[in-house]
Amino acid sequence: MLKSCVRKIMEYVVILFVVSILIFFLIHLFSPTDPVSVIIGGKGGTPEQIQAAREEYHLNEPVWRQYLYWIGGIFHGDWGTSYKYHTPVLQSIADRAPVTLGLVLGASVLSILVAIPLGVASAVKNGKPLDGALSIISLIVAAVPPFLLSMLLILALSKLAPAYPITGGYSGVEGYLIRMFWPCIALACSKVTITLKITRQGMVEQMQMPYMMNVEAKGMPRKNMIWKHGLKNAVIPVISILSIQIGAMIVGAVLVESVFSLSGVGSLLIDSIKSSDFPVVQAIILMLVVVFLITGALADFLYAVIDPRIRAGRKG
Amino acid sequence: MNRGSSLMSVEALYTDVISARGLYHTVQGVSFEIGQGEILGIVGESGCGKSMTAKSILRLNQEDKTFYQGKVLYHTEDGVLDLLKLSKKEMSQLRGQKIAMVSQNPMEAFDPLYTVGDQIEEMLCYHKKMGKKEALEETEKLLEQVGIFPGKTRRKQYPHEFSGGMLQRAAIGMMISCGPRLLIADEPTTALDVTMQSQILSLLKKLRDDTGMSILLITHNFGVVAEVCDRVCVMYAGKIVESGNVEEIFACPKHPYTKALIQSIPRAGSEGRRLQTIPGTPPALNKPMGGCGFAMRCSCAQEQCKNGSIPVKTDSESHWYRCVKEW
Amino acid sequence: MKRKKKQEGTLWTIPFIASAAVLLVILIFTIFAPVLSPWDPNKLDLTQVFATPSAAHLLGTDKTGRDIFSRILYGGRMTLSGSFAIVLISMIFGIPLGLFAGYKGGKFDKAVMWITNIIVSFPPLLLGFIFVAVFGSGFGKVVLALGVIYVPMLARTTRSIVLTEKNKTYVEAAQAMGYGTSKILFFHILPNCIPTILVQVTLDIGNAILDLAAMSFLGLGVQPPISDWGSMLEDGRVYLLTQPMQALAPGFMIVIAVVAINVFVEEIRKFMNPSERKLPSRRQLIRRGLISKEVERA
Repeated sequence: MLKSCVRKIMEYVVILFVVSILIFFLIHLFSPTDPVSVIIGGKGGTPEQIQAAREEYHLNEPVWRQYLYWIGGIFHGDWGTSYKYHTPVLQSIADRAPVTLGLVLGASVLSILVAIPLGVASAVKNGKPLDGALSIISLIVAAVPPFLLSMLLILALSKLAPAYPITGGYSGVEGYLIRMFWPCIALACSKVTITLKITRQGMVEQMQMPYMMNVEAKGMPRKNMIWKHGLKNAVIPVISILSIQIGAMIVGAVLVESVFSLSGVGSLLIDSIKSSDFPVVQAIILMLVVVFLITGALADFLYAVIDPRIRAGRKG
Repeated sequence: MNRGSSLMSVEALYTDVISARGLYHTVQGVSFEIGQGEILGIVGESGCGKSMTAKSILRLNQEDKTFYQGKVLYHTEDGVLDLLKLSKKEMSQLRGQKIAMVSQNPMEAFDPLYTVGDQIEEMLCYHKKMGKKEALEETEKLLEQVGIFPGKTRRKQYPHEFSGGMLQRAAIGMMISCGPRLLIADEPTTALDVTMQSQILSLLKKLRDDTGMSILLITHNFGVVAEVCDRVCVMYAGKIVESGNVEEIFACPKHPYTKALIQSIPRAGSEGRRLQTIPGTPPALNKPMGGCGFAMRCSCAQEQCKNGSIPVKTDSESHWYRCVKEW
Repeated sequence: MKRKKKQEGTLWTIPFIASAAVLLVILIFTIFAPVLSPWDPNKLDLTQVFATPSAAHLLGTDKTGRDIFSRILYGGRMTLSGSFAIVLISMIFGIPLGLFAGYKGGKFDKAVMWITNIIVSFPPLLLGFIFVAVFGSGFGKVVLALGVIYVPMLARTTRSIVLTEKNKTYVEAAQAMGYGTSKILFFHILPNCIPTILVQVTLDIGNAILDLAAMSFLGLGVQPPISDWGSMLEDGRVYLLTQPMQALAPGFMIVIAVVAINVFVEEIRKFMNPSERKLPSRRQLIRRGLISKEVERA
């Protein structure tokens, strides 16, 4: 157990290094934009200004040394300095993290709370009107891009509750929650469908398994069949899809943030991409990869908790 | 328990199943009786409707795709119940408590995510309203009763930690935990190796002798029938073609299909001779069919066998068969 | 897909016909946009700013008096052709990759699967962002990026079918006859994979529409003055409360197109998977005389 944990961690470290190298070199070798023009604000500065900027950001040195500066800085908690704002990258990310974190977490919880029970209901009523209605609704919801849904929500709120603070600043925990509620809904909706579909598919499969007939032959009530046996077996693919969904959620957050004019990490990423603010782009992408790895590890852990065969190392 | 009096009688049972390939007439007017403490065998090749008959008794088929006709009468002290007419809830009460079922593949009979003990306790707690602790002790006792030692540690193991034979024993132990009056065993030995097979069969026989429950044994193997059954029904293409006591059937099989099946049992002392086989396969049950289903494969088929009506002939009080010819 | 004899269930369900019809209408309107659109999509008309829907301007006009309906038709051309291009790129690379990986197996297969697994675990849009960060934005670049990003998914689908197909007798027969690998792959195995691949590809078109719209919405895709449905949404966002039509019309087009594609695919998938096919009900069977009335339940 310990051995496999250590191996996993080593693997993650290697992945992170590979990703950091890939991103850094791709950006610095291929990008058509010259960082200096970003640093000095686009206008052609004096040769001294350009020289000073090059010095400050180590742009005179070869790319591999720049990479070493960057990665070395990260170990000391220095994630680099923004080309555009000339402020520490870590600070701008930390300032904007609460919004994105809240959005992603809130939307994840909401979508799980809605998708799993509905997925189970849909599977149990396989082929019945409820199943049909749910599949139609989820088909439509899946086709609404999160930014359109956000707009529709804003439009509806402005008509139905004109006093509701959809945009602008907020203060305090209460203000934060009120402000975050609708963006969370918009983000959650866009992710409900796939979770629902996977839950339904897993449940339908489980309900047809031979052991399920035995549970029925034992005379167990239907609720045992569904919740105790069926869902527990069906939940494994759901967990794996949820762990992947976190990534999609973060991307969705980008879109929702921009419509609800929330300044989160997502909108920071897009702004930085548009303005070629490379230190910020690199840092955010590296952080996202860390988040993916952590959710992946969490999912692996949950599989082992649920399935004794995985604990015994028989599967996967 | 007065052995011999009827426990269950199936009368003209028809089961039709709809699937993408059409409507399957899997059981076509099957009638038989099971007495108290009796072991009744149903024999036939795969695809003859044996398993469907067993599942129909417990109504374990997908409700919206299966259509039943006829009667499945279950005799209790207070009277007779028609299982096909019971509500879902009443049916569920009966399953496991009065009628239990052991299925073919023990490896797929248990939920892989719970220990074997958990799954037996689940049943005891629900049907017998036992407390957790009582159920634990009862589970251990049951496991040891079916030959799994030591019950105390084995009950904490997961299905994947059991061998096939042990798992089938555990499945039997689970199914008899609430003291059912009828145990349906659907090919309980097919997925096991030969030594395991006879152990499981003698376990079933011993349980019958100890508890006096009846057993409906579904098998494709006449050897198994010879070993444990009191009476046997031979099933072909959704119909019972011959029925009688085991001794009668083995001594003078009447229906050509029965004869062919008996001849295809490998026997000691017959080494070197080719084993008899039946050419062809059973007919698909999704087309309407007249006459005798076996006519296409029968060496002595006549014109009447193909489309005409097939008479039922009695050989003795307990022995009858369905054939055009007098044997 | 012809209906085979003696099979229960049908492909020609109402949702299938309806979705096919909607897709056909959308295709016709976008292909023939130059003929069908009443106005030049880029013609400014400052006398008609923010006009409400009327006979002349079916969906009204935007802030510079451009006809929204005409812009929807032309925007649809961009969105749909972009999506088709994305899927085409993914097919050109993904199908051969999946075929070879599945058929050859071994180290090549392992390497391909390892890489595709990593790529698939990232959301396509995030990879799109990275691509744009490296190579810059623009419609062509985004289409190329998404096309490449869609390769692994299609390669995986193809590979999984090949794995089941390659053990079938006809492949053995072809091998016995001494055909070369590529001949077996492209002339024998591929035709058998086509139905499943087509389903996946159609589904991918729907996803591509959504992803492309998101990229354009964020200003990374199509650049003005050309617009697609995604960028029209972004343009209209500012006037959401005063002139909702400008944002909602392209939005609804996206939704309608994607819903139609998804329904279309879903119905085909259901038909191809007999266990999910719509089967005749009890009542229909009784009417057809296949079963007689059953026992009554308490």
